[in-house]
Amino acid sequence: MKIVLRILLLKIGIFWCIPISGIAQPPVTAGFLPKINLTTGLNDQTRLNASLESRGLFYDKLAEKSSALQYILSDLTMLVSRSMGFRTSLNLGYTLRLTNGETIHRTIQQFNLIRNLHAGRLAHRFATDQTFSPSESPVFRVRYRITFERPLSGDEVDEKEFYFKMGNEYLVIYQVENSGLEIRLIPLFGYEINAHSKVEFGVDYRISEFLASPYPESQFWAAAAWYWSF
Amino acid sequence: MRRFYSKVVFLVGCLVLWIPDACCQYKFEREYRINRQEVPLPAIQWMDSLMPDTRIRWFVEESQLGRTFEAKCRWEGSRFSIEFDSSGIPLDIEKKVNLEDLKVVLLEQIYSELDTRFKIYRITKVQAQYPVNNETMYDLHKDGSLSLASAPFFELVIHTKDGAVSQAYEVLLNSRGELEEIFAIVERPTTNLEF
Repeated sequence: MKIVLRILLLKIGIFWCIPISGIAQPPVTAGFLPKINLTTGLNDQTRLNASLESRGLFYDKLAEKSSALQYILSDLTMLVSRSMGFRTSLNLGYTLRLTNGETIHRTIQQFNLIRNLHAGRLAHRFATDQTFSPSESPVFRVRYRITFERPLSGDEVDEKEFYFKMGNEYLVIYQVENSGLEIRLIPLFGYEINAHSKVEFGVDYRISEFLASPYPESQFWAAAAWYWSF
Repeated sequence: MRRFYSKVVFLVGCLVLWIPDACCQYKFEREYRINRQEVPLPAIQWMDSLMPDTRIRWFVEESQLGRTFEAKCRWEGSRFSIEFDSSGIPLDIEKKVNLEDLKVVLLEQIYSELDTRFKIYRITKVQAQYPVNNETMYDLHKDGSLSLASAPFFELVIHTKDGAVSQAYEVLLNSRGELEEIFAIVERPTTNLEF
């Protein structure tokens, strides 16, 4: 447990050091990222997951404008999740991205591994996805995310209790004209409404454009999510 | 038209996010942390005399059987959990142990017992359970430890797999490795860690 936490802290430390070096005015955007996530069991082994995630932008330094909430896009995602055994699962799915005047398609493959800790849970997600849009060349991404969840009361989250969740994700992105690396740090506070429903609020911080630009691009998203399993 | 539709989708997303969930499920067991001041005095005194200068975390456990208090701490290199009734009288002591520390004969009996019920399984947690009696207290006061040989019960958490279906169980075995109780653990959904 201590080793895992040390690795996580080291990763976070490295993550925070990268954007600091030699950057005067990095491009920054900020917005709102609401998500609804619904999951239902089809049988003992298979679940169906559907989510709707939207983005609204209220600050864009890159475009030198700050405005009221401006709609950017919505992602409708459908995943089929198959249990592989001891808290491991394989997910396959598709995202339909609706953005201004354009429809984008994404295919998704994920492998999840979750472990119970003495107090909390640790999840690893290995994923790949492929994005196809009419105006750009295809984008291929390889992703790894580690997520740590810890109850704020007791050793296990019970209903009507708060918890803290920290996610750290690394994305290697390949596109013919614009490849690169993106790192995400996602600290969230969650509240378990009941055994099947929970809400989470926090920040989804993303930093990218390490290779293409001398100034990495930062994105701050105010994240809010509702998870419902039925 | 497409732009309008996208905006509607976004707005519906925002609105639904704020609708409170009306349904509530009954849960059989709930554990939450409390301050030392909220614990019955006999329980505090008992812990202070047994494990002085130890950082103790106090919890309340509510279930259909009633309300109990639980003290959790690390002591002499081991993780302990001591349960008290609502008036602060100690009920039992649990000590987390490593599977490898159990006697080979007992381990073989445990595996034999589990093999008859499950095809594939993994033991993820082992706790030795002790009653609060003179023998236990003598061992604790004598050298600050409890012998595994004197534990009348062992509580195991196992994760089983049948085909692609996995299920966790809590298993209570006696000192001979014979099954006393078994029940399925209802695990929390992992959707917020996966998707």
